[in-house]
Amino acid sequence: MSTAATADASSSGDTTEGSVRLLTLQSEDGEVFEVKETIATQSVTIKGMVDDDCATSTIPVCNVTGRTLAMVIEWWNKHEIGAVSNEKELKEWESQFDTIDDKSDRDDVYDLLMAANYLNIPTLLDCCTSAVAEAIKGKSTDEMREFFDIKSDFDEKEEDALRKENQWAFEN
Amino acid sequence: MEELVDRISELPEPILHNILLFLPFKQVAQTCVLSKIWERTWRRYPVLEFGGTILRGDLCRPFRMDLQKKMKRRLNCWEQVLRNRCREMMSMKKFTLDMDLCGDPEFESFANRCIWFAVERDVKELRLDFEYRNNILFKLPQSVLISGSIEFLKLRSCLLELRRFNIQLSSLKTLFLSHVFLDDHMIESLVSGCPLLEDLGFDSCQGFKSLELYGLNRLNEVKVTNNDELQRLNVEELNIHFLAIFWSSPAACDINVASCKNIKDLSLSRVCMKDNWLCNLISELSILKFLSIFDCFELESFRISSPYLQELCLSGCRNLVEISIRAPNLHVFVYSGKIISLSLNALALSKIDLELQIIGFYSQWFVKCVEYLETFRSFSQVLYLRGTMDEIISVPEDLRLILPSPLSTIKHLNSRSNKTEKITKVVDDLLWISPHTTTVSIKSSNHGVSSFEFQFSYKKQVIYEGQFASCCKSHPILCWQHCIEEVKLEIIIENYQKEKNMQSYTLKGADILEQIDALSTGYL
Repeated sequence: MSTAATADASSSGDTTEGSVRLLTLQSEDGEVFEVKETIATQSVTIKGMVDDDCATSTIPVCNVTGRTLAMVIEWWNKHEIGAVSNEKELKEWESQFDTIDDKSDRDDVYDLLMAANYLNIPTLLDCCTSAVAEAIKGKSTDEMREFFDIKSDFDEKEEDALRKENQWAFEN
Repeated sequence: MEELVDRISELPEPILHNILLFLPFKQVAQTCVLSKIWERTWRRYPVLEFGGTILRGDLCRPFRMDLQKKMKRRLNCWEQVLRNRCREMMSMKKFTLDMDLCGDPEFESFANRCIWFAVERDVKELRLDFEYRNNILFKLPQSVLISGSIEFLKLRSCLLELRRFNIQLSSLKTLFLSHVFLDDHMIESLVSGCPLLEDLGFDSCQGFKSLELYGLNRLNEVKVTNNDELQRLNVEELNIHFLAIFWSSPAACDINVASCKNIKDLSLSRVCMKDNWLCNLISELSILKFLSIFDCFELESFRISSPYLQELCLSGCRNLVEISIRAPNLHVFVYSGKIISLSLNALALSKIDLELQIIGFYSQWFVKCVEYLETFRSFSQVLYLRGTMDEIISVPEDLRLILPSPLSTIKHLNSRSNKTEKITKVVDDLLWISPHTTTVSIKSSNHGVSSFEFQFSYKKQVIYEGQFASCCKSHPILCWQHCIEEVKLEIIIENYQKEKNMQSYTLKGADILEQIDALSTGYL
């Protein structure tokens, strides 16, 4: 696949033949990353910028910290076609995102979700949403509140009314 | 004190909706009581799935008034959900209705309101899965058939009729109809009104005698199963990759699919076809990779020559006597039935799966069986071998003395056993057929499901009490019992909850066979 990537980059004009064009991404907290264009265009947002010739100077990635952006770039690198030899290996690598029992893992996944949403990276979005869903699966609403620190802003009457309205969802 | 931050609720609504997509619908509904954000997220969730087990089975029986009452209560709840959704201005992604209508007008009018709402809200995926009972079909509202938004449509037990319009489903990519009644005119209208169709399935449908597919340039997969009134099937689509034609009982139908030259995967079941017809078809399909033929009783003797064929499955063709296969890329061969005369030219073959019908326990049958297995002598690594009804193929002792073991290249041997024989006897039967196999896996259908996984290491030089054992003398290959070095045995027990429990043993020494039997007693 590397030959295809090279051909792609050289056709864009502003690189010397045989080398891949690099894009400069800047995180919200000022960290700068140089990323191969062929990799960064896994983001639909960045691909749009490249296609519109708007990716010539530094691309600011708002709302995403350097720490998260580094994780996103690692994701891109692993998902570049040809980077990982087989599907199984990729799935194994992805499985690190599957469990979010620790609060710190949870925070990482939320950060990644926000970044994946902003940059529009469908594969990353899918992986993280399914990880959160796995954690929710089978939990009662009380367990969910405790696990995700969700505070109810209903008073007792309101909650009872909602439970009654959706009674079918709570019975067998 | 550390402030606990609820970050999940801060996620944008589309992300929360994406998360909810992975959950059972009931649990999604439960989240509405968590907080105001979640309640709003629920109200705006673009998916509705009404259904569940209470809506099936006994519901319609007159004596189950309790169920019907419960059902009516539930319908009232759903009605409320629907009304709430109507207040939100948003389009629907997915709508599923899965219930037994019981011929009850109240249920039917609920279904109609649901469908009206879904179509009105530009639903992309619509599934109407009704119970088929007493020949009563649900009359599908016309609006569904002229929806420009529906991309995925699955209908069960519906009646399709047109009065004023032609079908116009301009976005439809996937269509599955099951127990649906539609006449020849409707079929024609369907074919011309769904130009983007990629995936098409008709199962147990009635009302039409002829199905002609043409002009659907994107059509990729077609399944035509159990539509027993069908008399003529004509498919002229160059881009079809997958085609399955099944009948529930053998029926004469005029089938013409030979112009679909890009078929890679073809399955035929209970199709009345003659040897010549099949040979001609296969020769037309030059890039065929997977071929399955089940219960085609008119086939007797045919020749397959297919350059790219990778997997071939033949099962239940009871009048078959002879086949000749020439397929240089064939990897997998699956066969179930009588022993037939087989000529095999398939150098890449690595996996074979055989279920042989044992006819009597005559020596003659076993001689034929050993000859048949010899066909696979030089090119297979993995063998799955069993007799009908999970019998172990046990070549009688007297034949073992005069016949050579048929297989020599098999590394992994799998079988099933339903008998209460000693496990060492079963292993011995299998290892006579294929000596010095590295792993043997035996699934037992007794006592829940348990399986025995053996891994053998063999001695290189065998000296048995100073000389060859008498049983090994007359054979080019030594019998396994006398050159076994070590056995790793895993016994896997699966209980009724499908939980697996595994025990591993490593066995050595002169009394290995006794050890195996001692361990396996109680399981077989």
